[in-house]
Amino acid sequence: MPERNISYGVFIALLASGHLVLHVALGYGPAAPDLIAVALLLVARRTTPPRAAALGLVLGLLADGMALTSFGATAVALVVVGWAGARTRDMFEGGSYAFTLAFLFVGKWLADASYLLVSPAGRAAAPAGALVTALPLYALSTALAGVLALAAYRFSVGTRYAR
Amino acid sequence: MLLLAIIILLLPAAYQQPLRILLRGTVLQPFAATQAQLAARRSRSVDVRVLRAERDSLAALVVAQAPLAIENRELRAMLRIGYRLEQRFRPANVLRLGSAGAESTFMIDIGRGDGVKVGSPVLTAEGVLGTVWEVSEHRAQAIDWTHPQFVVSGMTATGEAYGLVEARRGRFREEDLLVLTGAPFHSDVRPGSRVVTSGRGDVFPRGVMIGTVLGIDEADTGWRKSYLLRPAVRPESATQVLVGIAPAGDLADIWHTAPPPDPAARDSTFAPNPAGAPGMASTLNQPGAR
Repeated sequence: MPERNISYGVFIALLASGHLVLHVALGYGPAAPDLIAVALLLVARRTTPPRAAALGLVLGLLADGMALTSFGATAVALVVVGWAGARTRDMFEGGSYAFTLAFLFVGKWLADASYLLVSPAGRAAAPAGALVTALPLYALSTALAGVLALAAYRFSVGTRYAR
Repeated sequence: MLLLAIIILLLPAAYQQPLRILLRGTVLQPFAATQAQLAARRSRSVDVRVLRAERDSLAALVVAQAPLAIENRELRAMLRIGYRLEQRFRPANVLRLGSAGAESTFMIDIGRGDGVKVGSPVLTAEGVLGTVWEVSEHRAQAIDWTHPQFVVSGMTATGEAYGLVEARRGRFREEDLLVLTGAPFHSDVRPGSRVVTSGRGDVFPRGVMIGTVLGIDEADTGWRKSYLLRPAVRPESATQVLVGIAPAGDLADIWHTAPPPDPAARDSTFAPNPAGAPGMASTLNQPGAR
């Protein structure tokens, strides 16, 4: 079991690093998958709400590191999403790819909506009607990337489900 | 955790900055350095034919102007005038940021050590791109003209109308335009007219292209008009820029704009402040001034 936890921790660290490679090193915009949200949401399904919120704060500050305005807005959004994601463990049971796809889609959309709510600069920069136009597309690309990454992880550790 | 995140979000920018600098200098440093290396590599892989064509054009220009340069040198020697400071701009590579909160901003791979300051103008060969907002030792972060807080004092190339130029958001980023606000109501600027920097405020040098007029945006009855502009520079296409590190004066010759003298040049409201006090002129375009 500890080996499984270590490999899962490495997987999550790789997701967070992958996000920074895509968005900071390569400079891709919001259309590139938000692997930090994927990492947080996947961890949230395996931990308690306070721990998921703490991880959301750390990952959010990392994601905000290059922000010139609204520093901390992503942190607020990911704290909310991390806590809510961990709470879903009491409501939904499951680790299928279809469930994970839906979970990541809703989680990422909620994170983006929370970000727009707390960040005036983010609202100004978002395209018109972003909540029902751009954000669902970003959420879909993130959810698909998350499911692919999870499938690769499960294949590499030789399990059908990560639990 | 939520309370802590909200406190960080609501902190004044001056208190957030150390945390941002800490993150950029540690965890994010390898990723930012990777992009700087990629940008440097990209700038070295420019099409040789384009470079050769530019070199040939420049060589022709230099040969044609050589006698003028010699005459100028001799006249300056006769009048005992020193050479003008030519190092007013530094070239830099643009580093794109794809993270949240970095919309309408970009990094450049030069910083305080190269003479870059907060408020330094950022130009491309086509015209105005943006202004530096935050500076570290070897890098700086700038806003482009699509940023809501970007403003530059502008004028029509004919000197007919002066005003402030700021961003006008479109439904999508590709539809973002500029708007010249505060032009006199009696002005009649035709579509296609060029708008350049007026030099007021001492941040942007005078005569740099900003954009061309598309039409009237708004006319407050009897008071003022606003004109929509098509920007000279699209931020997404900028890869190499020039960053102002010293006052550059009038650059109208470079952009072939030749605006007439500024009628307000003798007006103390807009004249450069010799004492360096932050009056209206010197604060007009400074970050955070609006």
